[in-house]
Amino acid sequence: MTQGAHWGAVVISLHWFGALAIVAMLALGLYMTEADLEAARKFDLYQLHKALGWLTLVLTVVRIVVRAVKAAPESLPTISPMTRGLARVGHFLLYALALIVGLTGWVRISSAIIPIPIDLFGLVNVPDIATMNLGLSDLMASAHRFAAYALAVLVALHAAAALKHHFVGRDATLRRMVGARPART
Amino acid sequence: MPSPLSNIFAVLTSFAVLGLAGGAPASEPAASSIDPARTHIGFTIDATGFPRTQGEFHAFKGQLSVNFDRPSLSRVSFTVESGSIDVGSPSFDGTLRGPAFLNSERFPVIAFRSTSVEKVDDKTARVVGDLTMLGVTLPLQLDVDVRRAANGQRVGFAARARIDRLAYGMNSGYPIISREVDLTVTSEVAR
Repeated sequence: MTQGAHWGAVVISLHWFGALAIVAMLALGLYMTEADLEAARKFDLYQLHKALGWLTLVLTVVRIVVRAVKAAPESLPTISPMTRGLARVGHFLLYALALIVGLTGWVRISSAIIPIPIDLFGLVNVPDIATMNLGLSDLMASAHRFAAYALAVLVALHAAAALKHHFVGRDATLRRMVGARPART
Repeated sequence: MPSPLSNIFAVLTSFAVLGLAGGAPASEPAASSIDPARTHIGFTIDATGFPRTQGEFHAFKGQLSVNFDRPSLSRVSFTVESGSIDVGSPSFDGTLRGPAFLNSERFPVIAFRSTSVEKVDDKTARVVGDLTMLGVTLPLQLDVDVRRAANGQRVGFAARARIDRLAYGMNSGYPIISREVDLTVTSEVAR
């Protein structure tokens, strides 16, 4: 579905919220697992990552729904069909990986043999979606990690592509994702 | 007419005589309460892929009776409020108080009572007693280092014990979280 020349305020807001959330989760996930931390600090960071990660998953689902029902702007005519195809595949993988990272995290927590639920800042606990299972939990932990690495690579490629459009191709791709009304080209 | 002071003396003397007649050893001191300000109850537990967790319990009561002449007559007992656990994070504390670990709502008290005290050497004693946790009572051995302060007025104790939490039914997280919990209790009494 393509229509109009720009994405609209809702999609643009969701895109940048999603970008911030995903980058923050990747950074926090790497820090909390790799840094040499005291147990209490590590526990708190894991709990924060779980709560924010679950909210990021919800945001991803909302974005996918909005993307499915809302018309996307027309492709810029200067973009070749091959680039357009690559972008489509890239965007699909971004959504898919964001979804996979979130879901594997949720299943990992749900099936963990240490029952520590996702605590949404003391307000409510997110329900489990799997039963306790050490093998499943370990598998999900690995899947979560590798999917997160793949997502990080794809986010970097996505950002690099946007910058290339802006600075090398000098087209409106990035401008229309920051809400600037592009000149018709 | 006897003075009030001599009356008190008479009463004290008769108590002492009754005590001896009852067979109580003259050298056994009365049990004294553990001074919370001079006592620390701490623990450490290991896990795979997670740093060693160290914590302590803030709320406890205890009685300590040390007989330096006849160590086997010494006694110690204490009760710890399991809900007073502190590992440095309220959220982590809450998890440890929960049903997966200490289950503090159902089992608010962890109790220890010595059944034997044995002097190993001048600086070491071995205390054996019963530890009750999560409704299960099992024997526990504490190795105690005894340190006398330079002025000889106070004696410090550092007790170490290793608890097998699985034996008490605390299975959560095993084998990622180790089954052994190392317990350290330090305290001090006036001689």
